[in-house]
Amino acid sequence: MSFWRRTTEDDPSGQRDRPLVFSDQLAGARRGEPESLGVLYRQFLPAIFGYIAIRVPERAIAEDLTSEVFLQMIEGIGRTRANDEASFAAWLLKIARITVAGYYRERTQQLLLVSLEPHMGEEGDQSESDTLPSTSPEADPARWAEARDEWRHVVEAINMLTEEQRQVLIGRLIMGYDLTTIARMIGKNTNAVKALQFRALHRLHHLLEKWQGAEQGRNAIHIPQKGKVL
Amino acid sequence: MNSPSERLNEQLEQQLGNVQTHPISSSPSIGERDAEVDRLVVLAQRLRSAPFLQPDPDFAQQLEERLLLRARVLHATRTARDRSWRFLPSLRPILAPALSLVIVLLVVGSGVLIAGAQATNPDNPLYEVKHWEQHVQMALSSSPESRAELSLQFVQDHLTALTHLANPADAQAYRQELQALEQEMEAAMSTITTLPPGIQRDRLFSELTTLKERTFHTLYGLLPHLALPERLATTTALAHLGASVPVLQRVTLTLPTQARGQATISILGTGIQPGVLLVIDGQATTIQGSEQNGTFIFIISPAGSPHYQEIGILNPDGTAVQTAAIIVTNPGKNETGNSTAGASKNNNTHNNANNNHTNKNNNGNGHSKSKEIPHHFAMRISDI
Repeated sequence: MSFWRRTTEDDPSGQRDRPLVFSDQLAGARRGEPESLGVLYRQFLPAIFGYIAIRVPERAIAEDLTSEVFLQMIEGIGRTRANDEASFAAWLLKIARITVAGYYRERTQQLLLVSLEPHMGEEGDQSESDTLPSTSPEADPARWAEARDEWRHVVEAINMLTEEQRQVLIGRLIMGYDLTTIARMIGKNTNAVKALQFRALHRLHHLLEKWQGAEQGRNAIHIPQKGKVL
Repeated sequence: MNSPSERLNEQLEQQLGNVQTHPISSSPSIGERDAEVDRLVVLAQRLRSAPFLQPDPDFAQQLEERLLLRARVLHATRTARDRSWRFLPSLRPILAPALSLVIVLLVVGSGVLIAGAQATNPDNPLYEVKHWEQHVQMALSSSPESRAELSLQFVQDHLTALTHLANPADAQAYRQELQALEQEMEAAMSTITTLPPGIQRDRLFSELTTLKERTFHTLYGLLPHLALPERLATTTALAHLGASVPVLQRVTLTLPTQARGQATISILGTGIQPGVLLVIDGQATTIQGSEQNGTFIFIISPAGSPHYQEIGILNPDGTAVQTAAIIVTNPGKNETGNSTAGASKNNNTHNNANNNHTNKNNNGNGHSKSKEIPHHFAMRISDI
């Protein structure tokens, strides 16, 4: 990603004036200037979409929730006290976290109230097409299904992390921020961010490994069936 | 050796500058890494490049257009709102005088109300404002309790006003205020009496009793500062309120037996104190009475046949009372008769000599003639 090594700190690598630029953009966005709003949107879309997509099983839902987050950004940008990139990112991630939590809360209520409705992924091809990544290069439906199932487990594993671990992963891997910026975003020191980063990836790896082991065992049992599908 | 978290972070940092040109698998230092950290770095790389986490370009474009449209709507709304506020300064030439006028009226109105509330002199134009305020307050009071409380408050206001009016110069105002106090006290008493038994009623009764005692004390204290008409009026008011005041039960005028002889006024009553002075037709005399068997005897030397409208007394403590019910006796003609105001000239003897404080004719309220009585009244009477 082009913003893999991004920082809001002054450094000698030519990014010294970034905070000023960002604050200018933020000020312009607060005044409702379309250009500044567009810049902010394009800057934070990958992070917010990534944060949401890694937590919900379907792309369509991720897109809907991402839209909600940015609409709230437009509505509330004049009221936020964020004044630099880190605090603004933290503010946006907070909106995203609340939006995702709201989604899961509603989903739980819907499942409880409409228990006879088919669950997600059980409706066949029609819903399946919604869950497939639109940018997936694979054209093979079997590969799509496999990738979708795999991603669903990744989502489940990500959802089993703590919120801080998730934010560190998003900040580091999706937003490309350095440790110091992440530390400011979540209100920890850099050593704590390192530890969180390690624990997050370690736990994620452990969960996915468990799922992979279980999947391999199931495939061993159902090899003829899978071969039939293929 | 660094901790695993340090080693992981170092390896992630190493990717920052060459993530696209140097994949993890081809990193020259891979051989130095431990297996666990390597696995985590690979996982991080897979997460970063997962297509599921990349927003679809079409979606990104559509959402941006939607957001900018929303932003324009919001901006237009806020601008319109701001314009409505900015519109005010353009109206400044019109609004400023109007607002100033409103503020001045409010200030003046409030000042008038405040000054009116403090006005004590009925001659003061603001005195009517005070009464108007009181009427409004009373009309707005919703319950008998609140009306009783207002009445008690108004009594206190009248009492305070009386202390400021207790001088001969404000005689008229004093009497009006005294009358208002009586009426308000009666109103308070009447309202409290109609209340149902309970804590509120007991409390208001207690307040009324306290206020009455304060009123007695205040009015007694004001008496020495008042002229006789106001002393008469105050004594009458005290009597109405239930205070201890002198009461005239029988006033007898015994005419002289001969032309230049002495007349005797005998007054039987209660609350008449030693050192009491005679009052004739609303004027105090220096004739001091002497007590004989419970009756106070005043000797006067009138010229000709005396006929008095009212006869009364002035106690040393300042209380004063007079009556028009006078029994006139004429020993020379052996006639007696009852006399009411102005009727004694008929030399009729009237038996109705009871003092009546509710009779307006004998409470000194504007019925005393402006007859000038010199200091040595007895001598003048004899000179007539």
